[in-house]
This record gives sequence, structure tokens and C-alpha cells, in this order.
Amino acid sequence: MDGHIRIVTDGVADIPAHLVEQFNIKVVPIYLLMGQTSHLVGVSSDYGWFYRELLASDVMPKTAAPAPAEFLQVYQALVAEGARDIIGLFASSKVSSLYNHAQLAAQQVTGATAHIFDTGQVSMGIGWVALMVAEAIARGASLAEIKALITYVCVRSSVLGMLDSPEYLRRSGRVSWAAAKLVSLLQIKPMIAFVAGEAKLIGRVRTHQRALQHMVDTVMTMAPLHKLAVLHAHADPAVVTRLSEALAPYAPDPSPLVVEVGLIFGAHVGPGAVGVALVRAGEL
Amino acid sequence: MGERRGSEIVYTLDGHDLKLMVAAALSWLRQHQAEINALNVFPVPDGDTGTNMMLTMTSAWNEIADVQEENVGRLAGKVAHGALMGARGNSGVILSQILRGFARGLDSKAHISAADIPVALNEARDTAYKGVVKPVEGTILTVMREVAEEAALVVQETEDFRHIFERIVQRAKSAVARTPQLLPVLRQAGVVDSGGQGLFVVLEGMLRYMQGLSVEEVERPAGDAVLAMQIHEAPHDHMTEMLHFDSNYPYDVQFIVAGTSMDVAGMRATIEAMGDSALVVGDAQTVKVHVHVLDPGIPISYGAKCGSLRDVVVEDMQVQYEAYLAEREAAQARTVPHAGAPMPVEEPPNLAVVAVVAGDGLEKVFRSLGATSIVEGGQTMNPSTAQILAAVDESLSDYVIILPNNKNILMAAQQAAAVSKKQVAVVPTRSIPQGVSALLALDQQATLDGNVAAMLRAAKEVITGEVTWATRDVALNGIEVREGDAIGLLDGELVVDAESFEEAVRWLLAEVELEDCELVTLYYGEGMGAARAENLAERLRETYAELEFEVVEGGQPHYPYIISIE
Repeated sequence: MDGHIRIVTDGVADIPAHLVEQFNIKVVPIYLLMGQTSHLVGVSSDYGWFYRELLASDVMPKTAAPAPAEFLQVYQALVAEGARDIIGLFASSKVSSLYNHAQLAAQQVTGATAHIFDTGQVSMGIGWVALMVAEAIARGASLAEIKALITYVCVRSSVLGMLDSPEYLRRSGRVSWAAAKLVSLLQIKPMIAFVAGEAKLIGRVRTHQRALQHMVDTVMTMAPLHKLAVLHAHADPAVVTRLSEALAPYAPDPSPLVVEVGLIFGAHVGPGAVGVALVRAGEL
Repeated sequence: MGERRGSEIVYTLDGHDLKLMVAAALSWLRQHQAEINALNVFPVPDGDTGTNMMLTMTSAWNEIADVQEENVGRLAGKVAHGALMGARGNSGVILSQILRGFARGLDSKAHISAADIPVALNEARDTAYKGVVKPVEGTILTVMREVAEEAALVVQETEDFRHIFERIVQRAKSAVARTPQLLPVLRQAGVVDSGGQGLFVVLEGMLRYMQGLSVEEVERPAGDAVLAMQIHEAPHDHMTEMLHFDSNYPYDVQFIVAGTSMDVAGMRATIEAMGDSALVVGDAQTVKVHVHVLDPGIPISYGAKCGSLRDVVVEDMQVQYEAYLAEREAAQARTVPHAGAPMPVEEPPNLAVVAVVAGDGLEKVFRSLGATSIVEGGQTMNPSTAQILAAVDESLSDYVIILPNNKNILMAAQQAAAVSKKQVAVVPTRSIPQGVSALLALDQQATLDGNVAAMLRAAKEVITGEVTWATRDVALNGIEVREGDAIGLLDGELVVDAESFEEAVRWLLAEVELEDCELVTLYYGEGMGAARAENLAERLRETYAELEFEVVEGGQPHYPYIISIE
């Protein structure tokens, strides 16, 4: 039944606005605090103001999950639109409380059943799960098939990338090892992989060129792929294009989907970060 | 035997002779150290061949300075061990390999005659060649090869060691003189090979002992030992242990002899000759004996002939020493933190990284990037095999990677890796920027081999510039250099001559294909100051708008700027 199964995700998921609209996905916005000012950030395509503010001041952005009641409002709105089953796909519970709040709210929902999942992912790592579920719903998949698909996709999802500076991740306090491993006397661009719920340091480089090479080499070892997106946080377009072209041979489509990450994820990786989000195909 | 040689014919050599020959070689090296140092292809202040060979020989001498060993083969073994542990720089390492081969060739002979010399020198030559991955002619190897060849010829004509040594020293000299014909870089620089010259000096020192020359130098061994200790500032515990335990005298023997009218002085002389650390005290009725020997039966049966024995104690020091080492290892293992629960089986062991670095700033940089120990050393101060080995052995991991960060430390590092019982790999970094680049690629989760491959690849991805001053006039690679000029080297090749260090940096950058480069790091050296380096970077940013410049305090001696281009 059209519209009986609906998808809800969070503002970390970084699904591009046109795909959110195409698949009728609901996005729970997240609070972004810049000094004394609080913004509620959902799907947007204008991020310029954020990076301008970031570069113009010493303020470190902070993020906060909405209260369970706010999740409940979103679920009930979906029920009002005719949803009978709500598929909630949220950021890794190891780095945020979004999943917990979403889960608490799910117990109070009336008129539908909310099925809440910890994707163990961030950014388009969540986004790809949501989009693959959306494609399945469009094909008419059953709830059981959707649940199996979520498990399948979550274990095959990776996000990897290069941070232009380790500062944002370190100061976010969400990655326990960042303070110990990212401090050095030289400019270092950390290479991070987000797999199975957690961020890992997979390399340290000093130039974009080597970061791109590192990513291309890593993606090559993970191919074949179901999905591939190139991610960036307000990065140099030339760098993004180079990465996108270098990865084209591994993309299931003619070229990878290029996604500018949202402010929530962007606030953690900092401006200039580039990376990929992928879903591996076949046996692991 | 063992007296200073003059005109008498010398048919055999024993341990005592060899000891004095080593002392003579060391003195002679010390006297010629500066002139060997000056034989540097590049006019840069890293000409250390003479110093390195002298320090290597000093370590060999320290091993035998307090030893009375008549057996020439066994003494040669000690010399080889000392040289191995003290080997510094590539020339020192090759010298140590020559001595090792020589000792092996003597095969523990009590004394040697002329016919043994070519055998030992052939073995020395083979060991030296095998120690080098790509042997190059026109070096110390060539001199060694020709010396062995000459020895084989001359023993067909004479059995007198003096004649043999006169001929091989003569041959060494002419071989050294021909090195520029074999190695173009020497010809260009107008020098002979420094390592070859060092080997010639060693052999000539030995010859002078046989000829009865330079006696005042030869008879100074006590002074030599003192000087050697000053050079080896603060020896590591590890070294002290090695030097204190003498595996050639593994048994500690003690007993008391009771008798009538015993000759204490005569007994002392006899016991002393049997081994090491001899102590013979007492009177005509009671004598207490303590000695370290190879065969405990010898002093005991001697004592039994002098009187009746009591309180006989024989201890195997090798066993004690091994027990001590095992205990120390266990103690070290206990200090390694374990996370309570049993370790997951698939967890690969953590890797230790030993980096050879000179300068406070650079040391901090290497530590911040994950080097677990630093061995002081660099351009003009090549650490010994033993120093690197000590750092390897003291590190809290059985898997160790060494970053020599200098081409002249590479062989000592490889030797340390070969000697250590741990799993050790050398990533042959030739400069500080290569070392930094390699260290960045370190992955504590990957295997030792995986890391070596990744680190080697990373090291190759950086271009190294070095700025220093010329130590003499030279024309090299078409560049005229005057002593005192600022000069710049690109990946080890002299490419620019300039008025100032800053100008040299600028001209070095002009020599580089910068198309694919993003980042230039300026490590400023000792006495340069942050402001001066920052000022240089500021002006370079104006010229190269597309490049990023980073200024880092290196504190390295002799090189006002080390530049990493990537």
C-alpha cells in the first residue's frame, strides 16, 4: 500500500534534498549551537553561512539531539499522513543519543508501529541505508524483507574520509582517542574510517594528493559496491572533482553521487573534509 | 713473542701480537682521523668516515684491552665482537664485517703462520661484500679485495709477516689511489675513497707495530681505553652487561688449597694465565683461588697437585647470565600493561619505532608522530650498532621498526636488526623528511611487513632539500663551490651554491618540479630562530601562492634548513 511504510531518519544522514523529496523521507532536525545561538538544522542546501561564521570566529559548533517528544511529534505526523509502519534509521548510538531518543519515542507512538534501527553509521552511511530501503519500498518489499535488507546494508556500510584539520573532531569530544592520536607538531590530515558504529584512525597524511590516493586504494579493496557517494564539507571543488573522477571506475552508476555533507556532520569533520560513503556488494 | 718487532723474522702471530696490532691500528687511525674525514665527496660537514672507523676500532679495542689471550683466533673473535657492537656509519660497519670475516677465517687457531693470512683475508673480503646489498667498486670493498689478492701472491714468496704486511699495505695504498678511476663521483670531487683510506690506515698501523715504529703510540693502551670511555658517554646498561660478561670464560672457579711451603707467586702466575679475573691470595699453608676459565678442570687439577683442596665451587656464569636475562625480560613483560581480561587472540602486537634523530625539535616531532624511542644521531654523529640495538632491545615490543633517517646510518641500523633477537625491520629512510613521511604511514593495527611496505612507499613520496655550508672548495655537478658558501642538496645531490642559507632554500625550490606539490615544511636548525625562518616562509608564500608553507623548529646541528616538499 502506497505510504503505509514510511522512513524517518535524522539530520546526520546527509541525504541530498532532491532524494529526500523523491522518496518522501522524513528527517528529524538536530540542534546546532554556535556560541549563544541555537539553530534547528534539517535538510538544507545552503551551508555557506555556517562555514563563513566558523572561519570568522573562534566559536566551536556543538550539536544536540532533539528530545524524545520531538521525535514523537514526527512519528505522529507520519501516522497522520497514513503510515502504518515507520522505519526509523538513525546515527550510530556509540557517537550520539539520537537512536536512544528515537527508541524512547517509538514506545509511545499510536496508530502505527515504529521500527527503530541503529545503523551504526553517520552521514551518507545512514543515507545509503535509508535510500536502499526507500528503493525496496518502491519495489513493494514486505516489512520482513525490509528488516533483512537493513541488517544486510548496515554491515556493508563504510564512511571514510580525510579531515583537513583534526581540530573539529578532537574538540567535538565524540571520539575518545582523538585527543591522544591527533595531536602532533606537524600539520596532519587524519584519515578516518567509520565502520561498525565507531570512528577509527586509518592513516595520517599531509597532502590532499596522498589522502585521495589513500581513499582510492581503500575503495578499490572494498569493491564491488552497491552504492558509492563522494562526500565533502565545503571542500575545494577541484579536490572533490579529482576524487570523484578517480573513483568513477568503482561506482555502480556512471559516476559517484556527490554530496555536500550537512552542518551536523560538517561541524564534526570541519571544513575541507572529503570522503566517501559506500555499501559493499557480495560476500564480506 | 709479543715484544715490539724489529728486524727479527716473524713466522707466527699469537693473541698477544694481534692485541698490540689492534692497539697500533687504533692509534694510527686516531692520528689520521681528520684527514680521512676530509675525504668527503660532498663538501658538507658530515665527513665522519675517519671518526666512525676510529670509534668502531675503539670499541674493538675495549673488548680486548683487559684481556690476556694467547689464542689468536679467540682474540680475533673478541675484536670482531667489539667492532660489531660499536660499528658506526657505513664504513664502520664494513670494517666490523672485515674483522668478523678475518676472525672466522682464523678459526680459533692458537697462533697463525703466513699461510693462514690469505685464508682469513679472503673470508674478510667475502663477509664485507656480502654485507652490502649492491657492492660498489672504488670503495673500501675494492681495497679489501685487492689486499686479499696480494696476500695470496705474497705468501708464495715469503713466510715473514713483516714482508707480507709490507706488501699488502703497499697494495692497499695503490688500490686507494685508484678508487677515483673506478668511481666517477670520487673523480669529480677530486678525492680518494675515505673508507678505503681508513682500511689502509688500519693495515699500515698494524705494519708499523711489526716494524717497531710508532712505539710510543702503541704503548699507550691504558690511555686509549680512558679516551674510549669518554667517547662512549654514559654507556647503556645493555652495553655494560655485554662487556662484563665474557662468554669465553664461562666458569667461575673457587677453591682453597691447603699444603706446606706453597709458592703463592708462582701459583698466581700459573692461575692468571688460565683465564680471567684471577685472584690468588694466601700464604705457604693456605691459598685461596678465584678465576674465570673455559675449562674448570684445569685450575682444579692444578690446585690438587699443589696441596689438598677444599671448598671447591664451580659456577656456570653462562647459566647465571641467561637466568638474569630471563628474569629481566620477565620483569619487562610485567611492566607492559595488560587490559585485565585475556587478550583477544587476533590483536596484533604493537610495534615499536626507533628513530635516529638529532635536534630537540625534530625529536619532539618524531615522538609526536609515534616514534617510541629516539637514538641521538644524524649527519655528523652516527650512532653505533650497539646504541641502536640497545634502543631496539629496550623497547616494549617484540616488533620493532628502525628509521635511520640518514644514508650513513643505514648499515648500522641493519646490523642492529640482524643482531637483535626481536623481529626488527629497517625502513631505509635517508633523510628527516623521509623519516617523517614514513612514520606518518605507521599503522599499529597492521603487520610488521605491511608497515614496512607502506612506510617505504610513503618515504619515497617526499622530496628532501638540505641547506648547509661548504667545508671546502669543490666543483661538483657543474657547480663551483667555495668553502663557507651556503649550499643546497636535493635528495642528497648538490644542486645549488648561494650567498645565504635563505637564498639556498629559494634556489632549491626553483630546482623542484612543483606541479604536483602542495606542502613545503621548513625545519629550521640550531641557532636559526623562529623569526628568521618565518620571515623566509612569508617571502616564499608570496612567490608560491599555490603552495602551503609550514615552519617547524628542528634544532638540528649543521643544517640550518631541512626542507620537506610533498
